[in-house]
Amino acid sequence: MASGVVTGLALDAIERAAPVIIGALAPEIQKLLASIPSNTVKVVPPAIDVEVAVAANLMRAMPAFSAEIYATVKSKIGIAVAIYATEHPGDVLESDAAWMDIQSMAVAAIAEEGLDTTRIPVSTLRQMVASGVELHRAGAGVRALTVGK
Amino acid sequence: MKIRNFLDRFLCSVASLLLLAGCAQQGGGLLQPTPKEIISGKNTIVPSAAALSMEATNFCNAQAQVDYAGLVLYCEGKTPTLPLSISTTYQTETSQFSCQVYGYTNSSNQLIVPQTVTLGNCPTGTAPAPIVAPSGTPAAAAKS
Repeated sequence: MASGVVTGLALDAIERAAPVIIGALAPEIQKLLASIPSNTVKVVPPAIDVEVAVAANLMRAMPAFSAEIYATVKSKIGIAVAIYATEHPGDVLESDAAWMDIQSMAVAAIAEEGLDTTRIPVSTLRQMVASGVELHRAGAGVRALTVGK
Repeated sequence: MKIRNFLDRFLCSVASLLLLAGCAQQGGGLLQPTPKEIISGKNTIVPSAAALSMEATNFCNAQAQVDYAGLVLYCEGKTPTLPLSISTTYQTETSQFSCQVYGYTNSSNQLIVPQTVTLGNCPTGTAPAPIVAPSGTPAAAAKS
């Protein structure tokens, strides 16, 4: 409980430092950040610049891009990683084959939400899958799922 | 131990906030791309108000600026058909285009975006004009 409070305070400190963090970004990234819908990305170092670039690409590739759509895309990728890891116990998720399967699964799930993924650059999806895999390894997000055959 | 616990929780919280952070990739032998490398090319743009605005203001895309203005006119009902450049550049036919879905109008068909967008982030400076001798021939030629 106490550490939860401390964590909350630490995150609050990060939020208060947002102007400083944004000020340290490259000018082109600052402009992109100003262009994407508010609350799409969290102003948290160290990789906010990468996340801004990814979000900007999605905004250019999806007709009605919003923070909610962005969250949906991220969620589908996270779930796809978890499904793959559940189906392949012991796989360290370091192979191209694993990443391609995860990406395909995620794209199908995003499309099932009625979202058109055809304009999203493959490299952008790849970057998102990379981050999803990293977060999975770090223990964030969904760890395991019951997969029905 | 308490410090470790705090650090774990803190890192986890930050990770869940980041969600998409471009963490260094541990396996696969790939290098992490830079944000500039991640930013995609012009062949992936949809003709939405947000995308074209971003293109014009952040990437100095003059075609996007023109297309934006054309779509505003179309969505206001001032032009009857979708601009030809839209269907050719973005492979988007009239039947696929919705002013609401693409962010130009609200549910009452009222325009919700500015009439025009400005070009921005363009390369500064212009190429120097060639030096011309008084006779009208280039200076280098005049010398010889």
